[in-house]
Amino acid sequence: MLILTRKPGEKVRIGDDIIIHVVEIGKGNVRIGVEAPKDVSIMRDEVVERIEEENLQAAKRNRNTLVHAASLLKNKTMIKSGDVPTGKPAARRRRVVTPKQPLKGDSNKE
Amino acid sequence: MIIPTLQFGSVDIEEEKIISMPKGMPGFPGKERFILLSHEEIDPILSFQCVDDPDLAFALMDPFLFMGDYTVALDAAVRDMAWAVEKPEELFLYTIINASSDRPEEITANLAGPLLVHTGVNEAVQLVVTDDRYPHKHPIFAAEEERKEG
Repeated sequence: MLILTRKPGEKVRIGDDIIIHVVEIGKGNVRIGVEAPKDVSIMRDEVVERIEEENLQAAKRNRNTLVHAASLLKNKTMIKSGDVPTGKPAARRRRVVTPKQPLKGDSNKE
Repeated sequence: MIIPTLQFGSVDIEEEKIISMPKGMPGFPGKERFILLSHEEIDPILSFQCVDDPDLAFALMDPFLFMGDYTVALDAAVRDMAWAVEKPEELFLYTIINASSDRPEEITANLAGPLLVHTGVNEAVQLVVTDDRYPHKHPIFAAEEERKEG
């Protein structure tokens, strides 16, 4: 890994079109700015890690849980144990989402 | 083509319906071919089964069944995947359901990492949504109860 020492206000350039700005150095944290083309996704690493972790957990699905959850969903209401499900299955709906406003990079939030 | 699955045994699938994930499934490097299976036993939940690994399957659900106002911007992902979207009906959004506990009332939906499927080109990508309203573990049933009470 390349390690560089930078002062506030200084920059690091990656390739032709990515620039990292060291904006401010605080107590125990650093504010950085990232200039990059729109199609480069910029995210805090822990956001991506959390998605991976959640996928790993979700892959350990419990068959019984899934089957029972499905029947709860079909009846749309919570069923107390012992009750016989009598409701009609929820109508199958699949809503399509059309592109709306462009996805804002995480960095733009601040 | 017949593939083995953990939950439903051998399943006959149409090869042209295999969905590829060119950017991979986060957390599962190398697993890039999946198929969407519906089965009465888990309806309205779907199974996103890895074609190359019988043990790997995700439970998916249409988020609009439990959250009608779920909004995710898709432009960046569509651009990222270099998809041409001729008809918006080709795009489907699913949430991955975590049913790893043994309590059905506790299943959660990952609203921060929905799966976007383009049925025209049979490709999918997991999105990363950074929006405080959409957590990784959204309890589906608790949310329904609250809405009823409120």
